[in-house]
Amino acid sequence: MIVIDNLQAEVEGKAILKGVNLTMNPGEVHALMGPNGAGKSTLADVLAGHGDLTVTSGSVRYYDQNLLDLAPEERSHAGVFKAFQYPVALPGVKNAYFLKAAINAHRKAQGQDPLDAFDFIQMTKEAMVRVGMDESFLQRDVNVGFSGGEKKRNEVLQMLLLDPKFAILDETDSGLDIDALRTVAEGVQSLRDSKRTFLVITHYQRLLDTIKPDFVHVLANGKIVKSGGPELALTLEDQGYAWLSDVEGHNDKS
Amino acid sequence: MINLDQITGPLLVFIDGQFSLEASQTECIGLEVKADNDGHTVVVHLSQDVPAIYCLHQCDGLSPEAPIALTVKLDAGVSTEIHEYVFGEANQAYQQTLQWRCEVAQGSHLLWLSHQNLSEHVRWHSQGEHYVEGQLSYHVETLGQSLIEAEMLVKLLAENAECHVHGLLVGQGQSKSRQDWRIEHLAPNTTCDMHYRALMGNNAQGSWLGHAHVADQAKGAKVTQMSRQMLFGKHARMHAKPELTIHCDEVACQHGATVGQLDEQALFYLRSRGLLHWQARMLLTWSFVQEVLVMRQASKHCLPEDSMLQQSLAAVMDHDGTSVLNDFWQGKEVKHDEW
Amino acid sequence: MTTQNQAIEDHLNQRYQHGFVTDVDADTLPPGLSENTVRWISAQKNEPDFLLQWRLQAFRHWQTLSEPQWAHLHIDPIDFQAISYYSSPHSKKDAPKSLDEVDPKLLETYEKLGIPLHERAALAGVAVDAVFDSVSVATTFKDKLAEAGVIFCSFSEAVQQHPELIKQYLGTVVPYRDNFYATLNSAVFSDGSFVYIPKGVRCPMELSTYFRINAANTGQFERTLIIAEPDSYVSYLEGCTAPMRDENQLHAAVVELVALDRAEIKYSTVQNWYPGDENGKGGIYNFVTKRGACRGQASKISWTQVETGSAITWKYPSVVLQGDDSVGEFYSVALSNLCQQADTGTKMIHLGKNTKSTIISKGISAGKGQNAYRGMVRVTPKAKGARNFTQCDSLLIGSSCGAHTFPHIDAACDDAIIEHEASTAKISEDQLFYCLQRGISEENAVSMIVNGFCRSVFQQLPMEFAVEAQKLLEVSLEGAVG
Repeated sequence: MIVIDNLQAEVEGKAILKGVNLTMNPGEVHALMGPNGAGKSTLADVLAGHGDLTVTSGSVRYYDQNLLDLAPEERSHAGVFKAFQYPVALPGVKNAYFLKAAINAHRKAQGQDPLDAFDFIQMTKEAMVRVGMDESFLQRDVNVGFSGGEKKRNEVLQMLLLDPKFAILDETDSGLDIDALRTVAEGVQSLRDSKRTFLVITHYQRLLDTIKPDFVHVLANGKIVKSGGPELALTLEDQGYAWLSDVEGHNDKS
Repeated sequence: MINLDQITGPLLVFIDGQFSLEASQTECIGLEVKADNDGHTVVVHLSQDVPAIYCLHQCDGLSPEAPIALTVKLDAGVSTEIHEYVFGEANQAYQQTLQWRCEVAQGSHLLWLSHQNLSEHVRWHSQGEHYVEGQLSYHVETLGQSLIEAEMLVKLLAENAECHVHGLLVGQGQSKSRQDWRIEHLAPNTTCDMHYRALMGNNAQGSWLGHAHVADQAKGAKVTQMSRQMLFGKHARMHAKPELTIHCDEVACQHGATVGQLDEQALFYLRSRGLLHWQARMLLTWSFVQEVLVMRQASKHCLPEDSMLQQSLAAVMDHDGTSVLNDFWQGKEVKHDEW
Repeated sequence: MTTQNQAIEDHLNQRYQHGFVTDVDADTLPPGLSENTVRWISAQKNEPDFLLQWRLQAFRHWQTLSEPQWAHLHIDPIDFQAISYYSSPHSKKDAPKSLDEVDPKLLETYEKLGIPLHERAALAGVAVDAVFDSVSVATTFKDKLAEAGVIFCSFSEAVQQHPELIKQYLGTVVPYRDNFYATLNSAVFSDGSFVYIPKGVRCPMELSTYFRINAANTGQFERTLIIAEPDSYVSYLEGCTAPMRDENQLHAAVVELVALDRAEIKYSTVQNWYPGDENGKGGIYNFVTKRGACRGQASKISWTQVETGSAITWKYPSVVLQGDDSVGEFYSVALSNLCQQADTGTKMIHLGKNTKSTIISKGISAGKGQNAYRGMVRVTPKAKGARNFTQCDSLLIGSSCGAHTFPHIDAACDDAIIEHEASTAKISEDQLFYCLQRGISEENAVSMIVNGFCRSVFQQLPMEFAVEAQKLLEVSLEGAVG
């Protein structure tokens, strides 16, 4: 169970998150929506442990650990996965090597032996078929010269391989064509089970058409101003965020 | 540094600046090697393609210092690779000077890969002067702790002549390195690109000067100069001078120079995939040096990697080398064995 | 292309617009330089002894120096004995108390230059100090500035009125031993401007100095000193012109800026000295040492220069970033046309922690002009967190010119981040064609493209001068397409 309690964070002295409360149970899919600049990506970065952010108050309980105490790689080993909105390119580093290094780092943290090359290939090839990536991507440098869609598929591939307990998708659907969008959605769907939690950050309903979230939250001005079921996303799609300003205003006063 | 058994093909051996006919292997079709009596002046002439020529400079400082004058001439349309290894374990101050000269005729291509790894007592000084009508590609990799000074002047003399110079410096200990590259565009539509990367650890000091000169008759010249350096050592110091003198308006010149650290965003990306901090650093460092290793990687005749570069990188990163490398180089296994 | 060539020719033959000579009586020292010259200048100005001694030290040191040769410039030997080191318009003997006492011919000169000395004309809110040959002739808006506590006067006046400030700051940024020309200036400087902004004061208007060399065979050696006390701000602009003369004239100025805690100095130059003719005859030799010291914490010094004149420009406005969190900036447009040669750039010396510097240099070469950017970014071992960004671009117009770049990065701190980018290109046929196809004349297209090329620098100039700079560039470049 993941409990975000009154989380406040700032970037270069500017408050971005102003008291986020959110509880997510195993097996649940939470969608996080909200206008630009609301702090959605900041929340994703805080959960993954980005160094540019300063948490000024609040806590994040991740099962029996205090998530904010962990280094980024420790969070990763503990099952936190963030699909990046802008994955970083690594010239000269082959995707195959990168994937293997990541998988084996996880295995080592869990006291397992490194995967041998044969098992690694088997596993990776299967996963690549699932995300619709050609094997040649293994020989290419990580995210170098990848199209927007290829980068996002690569993120989903890593998610499949690292088998996270808590996956955060930061606008993984932005800038994707229909095929790539379906791949992302199906990747998420195929990983849904009773133990895994998803936090899907998105602007659009279309991803949520396939990934039917259990809960939808609206983040505005650094706070969650509205929570509801899947129908909330439809309302937002229909009416935008403007109607929420009353809610927000009301909350601020109370 | 080198396992001589791995070498197949012509071999030139210099021991403390003296050409050793005994240790060398010069029998090869299309290759003519002439050395004067004292063994300090050597002319290598190629009239046909030779896949690869190996050239070893062993600098142990056991005999008196003497400069080498080495000339390499390629006839028109001839291609070859020269793999140069400069190494030595001198235990007292020793200076070796190399004066080299290349003449690359039209339609010919000379790929020269130089690996330099000397102990701290050796001072290696090279002065190159090259006349290029075809294509010269020069790759220099400087490791070790020595004092290295290299001056190189390249004249692009014929239309469409090209020169590519790539350098990597991994500075350790008290090492000092100075690279001065001057490339003169003297004919139309000539191209040069210079790429330099330096990683400076400990007290290492480095200086790089890349100078491209475009004469007024060199219309259509293309110039690229890129230098990037990272300082890891507390007392490391680096000078970078990417210079241009341009006397012609039909040119496309680009140059850039940066000094910086590993990209924090990239480190975060790797760590959030579970790589340990030092693994992420190693990986990014490796990525950083890649761009200047393309020539080496393009060659089919490079001797098998002896992990010297990796060890140097690890040392500069201030991490216990061995454990890192075993893990780190698993990537290579994947590359060679399975794919 | 024939019409283009014609246009270039026309342009190249265009006359220097500020090349008139003003016929005023002047007291001019005969040519020659000796210890006596230095003593004479000092006595003429009734200077305190400490200043005379300082001048003499500088002169003695200068005698041991030779001219620097490292710049990418061809300079005919300068006969320093053939130059007159002091020229003063007659009316200056008893310094004018107000503009009414200034020789009307001088005022006329400044009118021709478009410099509004009369306060009624100075509605732009700019206080002007005008330096004619060796002496400051008039400073406007004195009273209003005095109200704010700002001191803005000629250097000579400051020596008389505020000797303690001169003593405290003179030569602390550019020591008299600094370089050949700065040393010469220290020995023989004649006048210049002095600015003092007290603590917490935001100078209520732009301050401006116009320099003009009028007398023949005269060197101009002005010296400017600006001191910004903590939490103060000042924007200062200098403009320069000279008459057309066949022989070369020497200008060797020194500018020192001192910014204390959180103070900001913005220093802009529009330099349009006579560049010489199309054969390289005549023109000003402009050897200037400009340096600012960000001495205080979070202080800021910003240099902006538009250099279109002079036969030779040798000038590197620099910033020494001593205070933690201090900021240095250099924005430059340098144009070399005709036979002009420019070797200009900057040094950013990072000493304090978290210091930042930005360098934007735009070099334009046309005609037989030679334009070089020379820069140094040094990060010393203690300058943790230092950042620099440099961009230097060159534009070539015509096939007889040259564009050169000599940057030097010297990094000795392991967490410095320095980025240098540069490009060299000519105005592309595609750009031109695109404009022509849209019905824009070739001249306008070139001027548009060049202005676009320089925009990031012009944006740094105070508004009215940005317009002036843009016009200056247009005049200098009309039709110059190759």
